[in-house]
Amino acid sequence: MVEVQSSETETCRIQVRPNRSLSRRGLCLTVGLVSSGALLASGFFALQGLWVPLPLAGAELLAFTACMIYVLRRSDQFELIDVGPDRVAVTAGGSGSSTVTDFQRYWLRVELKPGRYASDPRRLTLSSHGREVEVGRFLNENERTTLFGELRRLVRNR
Amino acid sequence: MSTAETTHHDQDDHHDHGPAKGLSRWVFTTNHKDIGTLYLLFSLAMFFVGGAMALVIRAELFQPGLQVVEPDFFNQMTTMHALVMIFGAVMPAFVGLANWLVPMMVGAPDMALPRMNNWSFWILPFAFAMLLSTLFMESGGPAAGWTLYPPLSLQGGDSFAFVIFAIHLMGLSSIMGAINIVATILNMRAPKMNLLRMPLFVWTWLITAFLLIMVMPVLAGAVTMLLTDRYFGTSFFNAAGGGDPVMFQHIFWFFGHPEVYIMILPAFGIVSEIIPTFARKPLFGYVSMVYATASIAFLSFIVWAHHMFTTGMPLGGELFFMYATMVIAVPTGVKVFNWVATMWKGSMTFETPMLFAVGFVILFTIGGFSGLMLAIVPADFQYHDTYFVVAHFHYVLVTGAVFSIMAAAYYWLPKWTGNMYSETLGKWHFWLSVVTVNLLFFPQHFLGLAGMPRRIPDYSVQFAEFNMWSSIGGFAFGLTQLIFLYIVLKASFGKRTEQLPDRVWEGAKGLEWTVATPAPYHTFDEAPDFRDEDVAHGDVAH
Repeated sequence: MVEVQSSETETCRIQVRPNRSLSRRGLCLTVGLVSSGALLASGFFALQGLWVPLPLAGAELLAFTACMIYVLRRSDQFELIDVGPDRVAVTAGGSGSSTVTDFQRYWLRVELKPGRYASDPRRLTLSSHGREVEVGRFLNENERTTLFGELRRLVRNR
Repeated sequence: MSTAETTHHDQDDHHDHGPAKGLSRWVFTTNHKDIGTLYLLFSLAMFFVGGAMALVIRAELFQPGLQVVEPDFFNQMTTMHALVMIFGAVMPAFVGLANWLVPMMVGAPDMALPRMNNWSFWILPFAFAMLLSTLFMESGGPAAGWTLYPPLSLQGGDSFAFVIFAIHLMGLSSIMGAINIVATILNMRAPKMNLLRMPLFVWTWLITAFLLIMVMPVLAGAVTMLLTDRYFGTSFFNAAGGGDPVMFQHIFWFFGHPEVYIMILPAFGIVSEIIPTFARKPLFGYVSMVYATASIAFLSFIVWAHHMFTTGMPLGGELFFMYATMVIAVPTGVKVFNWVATMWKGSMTFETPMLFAVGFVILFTIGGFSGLMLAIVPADFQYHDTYFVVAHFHYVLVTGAVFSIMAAAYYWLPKWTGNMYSETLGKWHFWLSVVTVNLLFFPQHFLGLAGMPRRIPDYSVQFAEFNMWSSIGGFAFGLTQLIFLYIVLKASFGKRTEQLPDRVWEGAKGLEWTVATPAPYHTFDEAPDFRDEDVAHGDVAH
């Protein structure tokens, strides 16, 4: 998802993040519901002396939870690109951590570079003074091209 | 401040390229459409393998006496037919449909875990190669019935370990598929598609996936305990060592009854997509359909012992399981009522998918009624282990699950392949299937009521005539399915003669009908703008 919040007077912010329809609360509810059902069933049989399903259910629930957390973390990433009058700040993060890279706007290069191999997607990079940050890795080619145009326009015009 | 917004998903596994060439496309694919196709083709192949086994059974039962196969091989056929049809044909078909349709219906570019999706399919051919290979082993395949009740199942040959391992692999595949479906539906829905705006097929699959995750460890544990009883000297189900064989029945049916709903809930979803399209009306009572599905799923956990009334259980237990089973008729009745109410005063047309859907509603209901009869404890004492039970579950699984899969194949085949099937051949397929399937299974009710036990290769002469009719119906039904095979192959590999519209059926709603026909290799790289008119069930309440 690319969200552009701009104004003639303020800093313009572009937010890039993957689409996500599951909240953390939803994740907890889902894992809780499935775990309680599976553990209740295998626990009941364990009490009857048939204990083998219990560790299998535990292993399955661990795998289920790990997969759900992996999916959520993958869609938890974000990039904020703040284009101000003098500076451009790129904040990249997800899952509670983030890194900020500051650029001097006048020297900033916005480039769309080819991927490492012909079949790889192009890379949208911001660079100046030997530092380079790639943005929009979540995007498809059309969106990346649109973001490239929008960034160039903002960096030039502000 | 102005806001502009475009959306995409977190799947960067595919870029803007088409499928790989050759065999590697299919072996290494992570594309949900490819994997869906693999599942569906695998399931079709298993449908014919399991069907061939059914024909061996019906050939033997054509007349009283032993004519075609030895009794032990007959028992292997009944066991393998069930295992192949349940785990190889019906379940993979529904997973294949989920792979093809769930991402397109929720507006996602792919499944949430594409590589795991590849593994969950490719485990299956190995599992079934192992299972079917037991037929060529010295001791033969499993012959104790698909329920694998001890002590009988423990008295088979050394192929037993292969069967158990194959079942483990099938379970692993199902669990991985279910996790993927839950993650996709919950996390990758298009913006503005909240849970109560999802198509009903997606809802039924979400609930099915929850059921799978909850019961698969129980099956895995049950068969593992059989394995340790056989090879490692444990006595979980060995009465001589202090175990209890009846406990196996409890644990097996605790898995087995939800398994029945795993095989029918997605069918409910399919029919709920098709009937509104050809009735040209929104689905009646969408929200009640969702609650009914959830209720059926819940009730499926508390009715397992109705499969074992004759094992001898306390009267209180019999009453509880009898009434709990009967309660399932309420949400199921809600569904049947809603389908009929959707058709009521609709501008109905009867293309092949609709014929199969209507056939499903009528014939599945017959299977439901015989299920109600079996739920009544004193009646079940008479019906138990007779052909009445065989007739009941074949009405539910063949005219229920299999008919719904065929309805789905006809409904979405043009979207998958870009080719419209021959409506004339489709109608021939439907009408021949309806006539022959009833000829095959309806007489089995009478056989059961007259006392013919199931799983026997020979029988008393009093059952000869109904068995003959049933066998004729069986062979005719089997041959009729060759029409379906021809239709599917022609649509898949035939030359494209016309460009079909995106919305192949005039009354169809839902996001899958907003993409080009045939569906491109990659869909929804950008999340779609989900609008009220795209809500498949027509209920636009927010």
